[in-house]
Amino acid sequence: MSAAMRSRRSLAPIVGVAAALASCNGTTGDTLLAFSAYASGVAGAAEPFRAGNFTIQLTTARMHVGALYFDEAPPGTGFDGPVCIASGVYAAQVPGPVDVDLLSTAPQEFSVYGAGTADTALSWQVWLTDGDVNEVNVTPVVELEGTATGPDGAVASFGAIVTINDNRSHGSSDPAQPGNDPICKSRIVQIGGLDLTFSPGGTLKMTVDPRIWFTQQVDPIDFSAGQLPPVTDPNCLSADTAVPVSPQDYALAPETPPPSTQTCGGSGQPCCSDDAGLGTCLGALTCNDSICGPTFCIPNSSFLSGSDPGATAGVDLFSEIISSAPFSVRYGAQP
Amino acid sequence: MPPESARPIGLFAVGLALALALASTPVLAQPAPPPDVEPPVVVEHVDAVYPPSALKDREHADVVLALTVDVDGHVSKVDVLESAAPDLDEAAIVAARQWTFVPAKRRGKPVASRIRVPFHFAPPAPPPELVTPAPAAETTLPSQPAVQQEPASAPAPAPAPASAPAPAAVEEVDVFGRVVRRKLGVADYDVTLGELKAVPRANASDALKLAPGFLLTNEGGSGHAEQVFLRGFDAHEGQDLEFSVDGVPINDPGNYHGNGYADTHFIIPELIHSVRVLEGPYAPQQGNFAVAGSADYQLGLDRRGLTAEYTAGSFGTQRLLVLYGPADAPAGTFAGAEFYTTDGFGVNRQAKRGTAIGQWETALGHAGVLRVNATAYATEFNNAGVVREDDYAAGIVGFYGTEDPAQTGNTSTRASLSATYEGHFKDTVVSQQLFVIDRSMRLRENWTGFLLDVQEPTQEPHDQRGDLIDFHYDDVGVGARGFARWHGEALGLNQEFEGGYFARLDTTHSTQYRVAAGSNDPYATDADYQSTLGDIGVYVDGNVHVLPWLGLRGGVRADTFLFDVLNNCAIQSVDNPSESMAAAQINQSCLSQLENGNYVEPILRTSTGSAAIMPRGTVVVGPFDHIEFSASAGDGVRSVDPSYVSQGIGTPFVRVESEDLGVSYNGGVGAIRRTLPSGATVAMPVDLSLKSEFFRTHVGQDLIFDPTEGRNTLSSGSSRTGWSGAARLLGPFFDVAANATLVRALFDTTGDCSPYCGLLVPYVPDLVLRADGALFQELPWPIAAHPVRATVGYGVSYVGRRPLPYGQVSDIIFVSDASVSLAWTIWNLRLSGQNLFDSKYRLGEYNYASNFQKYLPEPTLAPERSFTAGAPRTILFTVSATLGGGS
Repeated sequence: MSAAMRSRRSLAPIVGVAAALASCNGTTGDTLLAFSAYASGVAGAAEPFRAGNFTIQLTTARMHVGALYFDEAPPGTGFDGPVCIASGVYAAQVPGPVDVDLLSTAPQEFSVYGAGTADTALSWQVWLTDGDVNEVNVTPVVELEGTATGPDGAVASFGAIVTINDNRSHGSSDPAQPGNDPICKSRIVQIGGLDLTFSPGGTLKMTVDPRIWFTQQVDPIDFSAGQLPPVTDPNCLSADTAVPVSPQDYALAPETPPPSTQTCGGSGQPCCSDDAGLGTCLGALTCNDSICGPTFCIPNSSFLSGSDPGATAGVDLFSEIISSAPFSVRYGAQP
Repeated sequence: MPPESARPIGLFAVGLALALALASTPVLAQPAPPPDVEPPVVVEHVDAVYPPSALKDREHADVVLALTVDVDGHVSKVDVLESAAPDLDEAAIVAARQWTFVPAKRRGKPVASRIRVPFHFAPPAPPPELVTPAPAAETTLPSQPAVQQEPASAPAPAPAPASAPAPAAVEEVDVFGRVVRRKLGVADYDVTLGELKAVPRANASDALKLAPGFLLTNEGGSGHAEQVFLRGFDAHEGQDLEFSVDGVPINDPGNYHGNGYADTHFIIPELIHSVRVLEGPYAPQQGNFAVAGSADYQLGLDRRGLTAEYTAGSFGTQRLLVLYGPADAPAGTFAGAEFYTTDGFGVNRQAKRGTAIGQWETALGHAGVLRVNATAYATEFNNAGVVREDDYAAGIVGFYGTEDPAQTGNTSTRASLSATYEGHFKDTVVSQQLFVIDRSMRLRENWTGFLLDVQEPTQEPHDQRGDLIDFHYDDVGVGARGFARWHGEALGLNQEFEGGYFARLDTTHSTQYRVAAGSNDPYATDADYQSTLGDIGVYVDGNVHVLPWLGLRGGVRADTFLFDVLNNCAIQSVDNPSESMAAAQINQSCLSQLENGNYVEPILRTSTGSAAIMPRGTVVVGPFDHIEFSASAGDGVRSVDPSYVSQGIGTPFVRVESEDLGVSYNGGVGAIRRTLPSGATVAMPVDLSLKSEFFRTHVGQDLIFDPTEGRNTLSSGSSRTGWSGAARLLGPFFDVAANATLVRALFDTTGDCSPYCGLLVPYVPDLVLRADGALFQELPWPIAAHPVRATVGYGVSYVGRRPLPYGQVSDIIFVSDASVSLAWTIWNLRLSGQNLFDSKYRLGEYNYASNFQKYLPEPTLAPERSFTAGAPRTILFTVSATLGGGS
């Protein structure tokens, strides 16, 4: 036996041990995952509900959600500053939009899959934006239509188109901190109190309860005559200089009752001229520009003066929309 | 923002001038082409036997012989040039007379020659060895002999055999040597390229692949330092390995991008004679950054004469290389200059480079050698960066594309000057080296896209401006190293002791800005550090023989690190800024205020010094029938970058502990009979070397790549456990090497290990295999009576799956390289291919959050897979001609 052969034989056990060593498993921890994401309203949102002295029936409640992000860190004091993208580690994201009918409990899928890691998120962000979170957004974040019945039985129809541009934020007024209040701050809802663990094979579902926009207000909106401006008011049409609207834009609700039985148009339908005369609509609807629609608007601005009708209502509605209360999320096997 | 300090360009200019001067001087001094002389090459050598009569004294001794080699390659005459003692002289003569050679040639015809061969006697083990350029185990000694034509008054020619034509004169060949370090056990690899130079190598770092476990990747562009994986360490830019070239350090100290960043592109691959790789920190000579080990390039030019080489091939690649080694000068005297340009294999991969290296080696005194080396190097290159896997899958970015085409304008320069003296004084060998280095680099990289530009209160409202990093580093360093090694007898056995030092002082400046996409305007300062760094190391090293077959090698090293750091951007945010003060600093990165409006300059000076004492040792058992066992243990150290000092870290280095257990075999495995051109038949030996070793290394704080900072940052401690093996078979017409490394790298489970406790260290491949082979032979079809020599080289790399963050694993890498070359008279033609099978592989893979905003309106903030592309098949054709140095 040559020396080389002897040497090879002596190496055999070493190679064997090495092979065993290589077969050991391990992990760097965690795992990447992808999931489907859905959004919906909640049960009961399409039913009448009480807000202050009024009974509200929403006939339309739509929300445009731009994206969802789930942060492994709890909401920090940093968010009280100008931070829009937190410096923490994001466990998951759904970086695309969905238009949600909040009066439906049916899962409505986001336009993109979610992605992330098998980690636990302690806070999350709802991005109410369409496109760049720092640029002018044209798509309304929320569109509402409904009626409010007062204690005296009077019914008022109302609509709301909520956008977030210079009508919601004028930026910082502090010359020393000009970046302290960027527009993205107004478009991102940061929500804490979360303990959501992602795992492979799950599905995300976010729900939004539009009733809370009305019921959580300290001073609920007063729908009495004269408290809200008519939809033809400039504060209803051009409060957001970037997104002017027409009175017809407030006529959102589907036709009711059905056309086959109606005697006049429902919301969004032409005003009836045959049986009720041109300009006449059923119920609390009003004919504007030949379309039946709500009579009043909740102004699309946070900067109206106190003497303007609905000035407080515009501020309060927006405050509730970007509050955490209406939002909830769960992650599980089924949407 | 404070202005950048004026860059000291004077040294660079001086270095460049010296390099060019050294490169050009021999040419200018040579009025005519040098004689076309090839030195004799050892075919078979016999070690001298330590004479029993000398055992009673057990002394070390040197005998220098002059051998006259006849035209048949036999030793026809032996003269004693330096005598030690009659019995030792005789032992050397007896051995030398048994040597056989491929005879020296003049213009292709065999001639008698005279060479100078020193024998070193050391009783009783290890056996007598040569103190010549290559270890005694190698059969091609002297592998790099210098040829000196003897004047007419040369010693009388040896009588020529009747069967061979008598030469007109005898050529004298002088052997210049380097001080040969003792082997430090199995983890010590002397990687001699030899014929394996035929395997295509993109750059100097590629030579490291001949040592086990090396994985080299380059994701930062042609001029970016190689990413080196060794023994489970991910030296993102080489910082876990102590690199040097003939002792001159390569690692950048105080480099914020990567402390210890090692750009080896200034080394012309054709000038690498060998690389000594010490895996692990087991030798007291190893200094800063020797975490996974150290690699010292030893330069030399095999091909004497004037060589001009031109390469052209795929992707507009062109390379012009000029090498010169005077035929009458030692191998250590040479000059080389290189120009390289390429369009690159994809978007943003253009590069151009110029390099010049000159070295002059001469005898100094009776037993000394002086080497003066100068280098100059400049490169400009682009960087494609990472590609997101989802963007590639969606067809938005090509496999060889880029997410950010603004990653251009990267540069790197280096100029160095060194002088080394090595001398033998009776029983002591001394070495002294002085060096001065000027370095600069600029890198523009974007790892995260548009993710990190956080809105600060004191900034005007802005969109994400992009995360492109514009990094710059300057360094001027001066230093010295030296040692004295005494050999003698104690306890009745051969003993050696060495004392040495290393000293280095550097002034560095690192800046890193963030640059706005589109405008390229810097909008934020990440870092601005000016540092004065000192590293003084002193060591003692012993080679103690307790028994003839048991050696203890090692000692202790102590390094003192000094950091004096000026942070020019110490305050970058203020929670409660004063209105009046903040208004004046809108949009600025470096603020002059504390909370509530207290004024402060935006700078912070921090200094610290600390010492590391590191015991290191190896027990060597054997050799027994060419088999040797060794066990090594040692502590190492890696300094931190200045930002950590500025943050208040008190001990500016991280400690490393390592152990190694190995076995090696070095010996012949027979011989192959070959017929020389003269018709004589000689037996040419086949040598085999085998190594196997287990290792474990623990590092106090590991470096983990942080894409948000675009660099490696400190994390928790970690350990590597693994095995590596290597084999090399060298014969008269083949040279084959293969190696493998298995490793498992885990973060600590105790101490401050969160959040990585017990997890795999990402990016470290569990299995690395590399094989290189070369076949070389004279073809039986001479052209115009001149032989044609053919060489075929082949190399293959396999890299196993690498663990990635978030429990993922990477793809494997399997790449083949090959070349074919023909040499005839002065000409050499070469066709080489890298990634021969055009494998589309991912060089690096990552999981982290990035946002390049390609198709989604909203940012991507959660981790996703990104990769950097490996080079596709690259075919290069090279033609070269050598004048004045032999065919």
